[in-house]
Amino acid sequence: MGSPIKPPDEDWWDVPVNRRESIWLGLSVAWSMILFGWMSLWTRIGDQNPIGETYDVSTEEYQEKVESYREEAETLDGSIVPPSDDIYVAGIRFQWRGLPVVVETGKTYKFHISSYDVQHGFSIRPEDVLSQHTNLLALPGYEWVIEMEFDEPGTYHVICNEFCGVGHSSMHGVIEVRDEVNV
Amino acid sequence: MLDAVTNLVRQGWRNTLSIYYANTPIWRLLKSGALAFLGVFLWAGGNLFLSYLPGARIIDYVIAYGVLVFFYGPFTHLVIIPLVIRWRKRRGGLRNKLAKRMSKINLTFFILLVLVVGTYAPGFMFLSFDVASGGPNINPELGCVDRGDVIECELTEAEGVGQVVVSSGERTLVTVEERPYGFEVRKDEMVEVVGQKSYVVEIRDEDGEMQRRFSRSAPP
Amino acid sequence: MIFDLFDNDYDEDGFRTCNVTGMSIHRSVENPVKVFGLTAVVALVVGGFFAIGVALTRWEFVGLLGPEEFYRWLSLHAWNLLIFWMVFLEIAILYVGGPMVLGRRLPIPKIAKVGWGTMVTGALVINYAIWTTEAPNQAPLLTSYAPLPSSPYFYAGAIIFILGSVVAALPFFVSLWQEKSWGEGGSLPLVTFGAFVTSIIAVEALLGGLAVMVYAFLWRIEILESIDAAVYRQVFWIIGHGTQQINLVAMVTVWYFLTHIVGGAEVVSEKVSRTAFVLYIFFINLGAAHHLLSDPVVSVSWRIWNASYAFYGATLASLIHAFAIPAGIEAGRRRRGKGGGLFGWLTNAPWKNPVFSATIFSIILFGFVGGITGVVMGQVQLNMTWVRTLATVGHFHGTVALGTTIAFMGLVYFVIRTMFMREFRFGRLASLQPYLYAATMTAATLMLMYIGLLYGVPRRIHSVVRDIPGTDFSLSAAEPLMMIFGVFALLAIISGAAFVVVALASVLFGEKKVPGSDLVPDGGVDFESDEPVHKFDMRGTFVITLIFLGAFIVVYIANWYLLSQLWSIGP
Repeated sequence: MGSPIKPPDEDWWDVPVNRRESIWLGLSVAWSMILFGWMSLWTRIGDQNPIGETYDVSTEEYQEKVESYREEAETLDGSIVPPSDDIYVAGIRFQWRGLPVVVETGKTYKFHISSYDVQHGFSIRPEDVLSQHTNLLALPGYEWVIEMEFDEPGTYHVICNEFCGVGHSSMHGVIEVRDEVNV
Repeated sequence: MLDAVTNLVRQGWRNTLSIYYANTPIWRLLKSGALAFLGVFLWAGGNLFLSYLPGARIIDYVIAYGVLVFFYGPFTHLVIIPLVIRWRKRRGGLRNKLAKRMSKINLTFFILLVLVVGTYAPGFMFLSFDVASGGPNINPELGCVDRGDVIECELTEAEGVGQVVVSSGERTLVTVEERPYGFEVRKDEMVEVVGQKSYVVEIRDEDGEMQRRFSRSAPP
Repeated sequence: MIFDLFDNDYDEDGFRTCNVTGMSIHRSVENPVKVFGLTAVVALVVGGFFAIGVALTRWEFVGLLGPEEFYRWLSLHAWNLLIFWMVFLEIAILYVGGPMVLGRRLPIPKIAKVGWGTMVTGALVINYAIWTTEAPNQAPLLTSYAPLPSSPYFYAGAIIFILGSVVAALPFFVSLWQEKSWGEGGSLPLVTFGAFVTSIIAVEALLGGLAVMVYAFLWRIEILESIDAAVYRQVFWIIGHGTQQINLVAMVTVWYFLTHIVGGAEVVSEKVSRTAFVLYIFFINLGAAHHLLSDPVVSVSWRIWNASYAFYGATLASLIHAFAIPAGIEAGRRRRGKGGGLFGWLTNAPWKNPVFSATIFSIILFGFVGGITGVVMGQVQLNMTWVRTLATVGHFHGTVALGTTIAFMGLVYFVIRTMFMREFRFGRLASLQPYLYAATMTAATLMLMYIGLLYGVPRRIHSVVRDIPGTDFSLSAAEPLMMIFGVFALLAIISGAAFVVVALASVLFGEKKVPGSDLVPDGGVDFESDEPVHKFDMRGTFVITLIFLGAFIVVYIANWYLLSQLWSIGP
């Protein structure tokens, strides 16, 4: 009895459970529910959710989109000024096409994220507070449209954090966030 | 109801005390480990919170506590307590008297230390979270045009570029060391993988260190 | 001498009775367990060797290897430790949990040999493929990031290894079938049940792996024209994380087994523990979805349902074991009169026995380091701040390098004493080794987590802290933590090497001796008392688990607070 390497007694299902173990079971169930509940609630009330529409797109189509966006856009100190709320970014070994870009604080942009070749990790952080960082993924064949709104001006650095080959460590781009963007 | 709560609190306090006073060798080791763990957690976590809430003085004390408990926790359990246990076994004398009060003395001293260190907030206990300026920005643009049998490429904005090395597979095809860093690559020299011919353009600085890399595939 | 390793005193039928566990053990089970165990240790040596280059490169102060070499070494480190060390030992665990515990011969022993041979072949092919990777192929790391091409031999090796694992598991299934058809009826012992659950989860994972590796192989040899990166990721993680779920369930089974034998633990509630295992069957493999939380393509409700293992069904199971196993030790020891106060049962336990200390460290560290972080980073939104950073690497070093590896080290020590019947060489080092490894690996693991969380330093990257080539940006602020990491990573490798030295020296040169009573807990394994085990006090365990829950809540709230301070992302 009580041995894990011997068959249990016939009536093992009916053996009572220790009171403290029962309490722990209750706590565990409650905690699991809280974990689940808070996570789903945050998709409704929270400001940070990795959620946005994904569209199938061939790499060629996406290349055309990005290049025509780049042609349409004006530049400011070498950075792209998005002509509308849409910002196009593509990973290509080993660059972020579409960066550097300059954006305004308090304005919601739609980031279109994809790749021309392999998987890339789209990893952003402001340069004065490196502890604030966020990581998304760029996949070839998929255009992910995800909204972002920056409230603090500054230089945000984008590096690649998904392995994309030798040279991966040199991938770098910049998002310049300013209170006002005047071309 | 009130009784139940009082009981719970009393039981909790007794449990806390019994953990606090437990001093067998394995307990001392486990507590040292737990306090070191807690210390690192509060030190790193405190610094993390401070980077989000710059100027929040209260966090300085959390960090100070974390740093100090990391050293002082194991020191207490592995050095002071064995010493105190030995002293207590002696009969009479100053050491015996001291040993009897050592628990309170030690705790008081530690709390004072945390207050002092937290107040003076010496630099060594803080981590920095901003960018120290690194090397130069080398951001050349690679433009390539398909000319049938060959790919013709050109590098613009080539500041800081010392050398351009073009390879395919493990073979170096072209090395360019002079401006304007234009070159041609023959498609039949390229290695093919998963149905695509590909080549790599590596940009090096004057010292031959890799600065940028471009990996491209050629249309068939 | 080699044959001496596989020769114990069996009776005419090939059985012997183990004087530590009381199990009736047949030669046909014991020898494969030894072979799989030793093969696992060889993989540990290889993977541990490659850890040196990985650690000394990521510690950019040293910066040992160039990028091509680094990615190659990282791949070999990952495959040998995360896959080969684990899976070879897990097959051994299946044979222990199945036929050995049931007192049966190993059915279809030839199939076991074929399985072992196929697995070894697969492992060798993968090692060869990675070692000889040449551009334009890239080292696969663990994941092989299609459409990034790896050597075709890599995919082929993976297919062979997976097939071999399925074949090697077959004798286990047959032995259960035999038990059910010819046995005495009734329920399986808990350890056998745990092994059975492990095997179900393993088969699910391996089938997923087979699917994805065949898909990638066909693409790589250009039979399929293209490969869909999203499909590849989704199917890959069925095995990519599934194998880690096998580790988890196998480890929990080992916990029940070893705490009982060397700690005197008993099962406090068969009903509760078995229900927890069943929850694993239904829900744990859903957890693989958390690799796609910060990806495009999959829908919100898909993420929430799967990341939460369906309302945290599998997390609940782990929380249950987190209580049941220490409670088993507490109640079992109290029943033997080894209680005493709140924690007397724990402190008077055999802490000098490396089998016991390794098991306990595995339990504590898996929970506090690997478990909590796993659930936190598995929340859809928090995932954005953890994923693909070194914090993730910290998490799985908490689960695998601390939790599973330490438990398996304890198991290997146990096998050395009870199946190879060797006394430990360097006995003092053997007693100390779990302490050294647990301490140094914990420090290295925590540093990985903090470096990832505090600085967003990516994983799977050659250099990023001191210098990002061609830019004025770097993450050099992370250097102080990186220094601490580097030192402790090296110490952890040395402590891991100490395990290998003790294990191999004991097996090869240890004194052959039937294990004595020092392995058996106070009162013996078969201690009988009239009082049922669930009636004994479990307040010590209750206090420990409350502290655990408290730590969990603090970490959870802290992570959410920090996330809420970021700029706005998503609708």
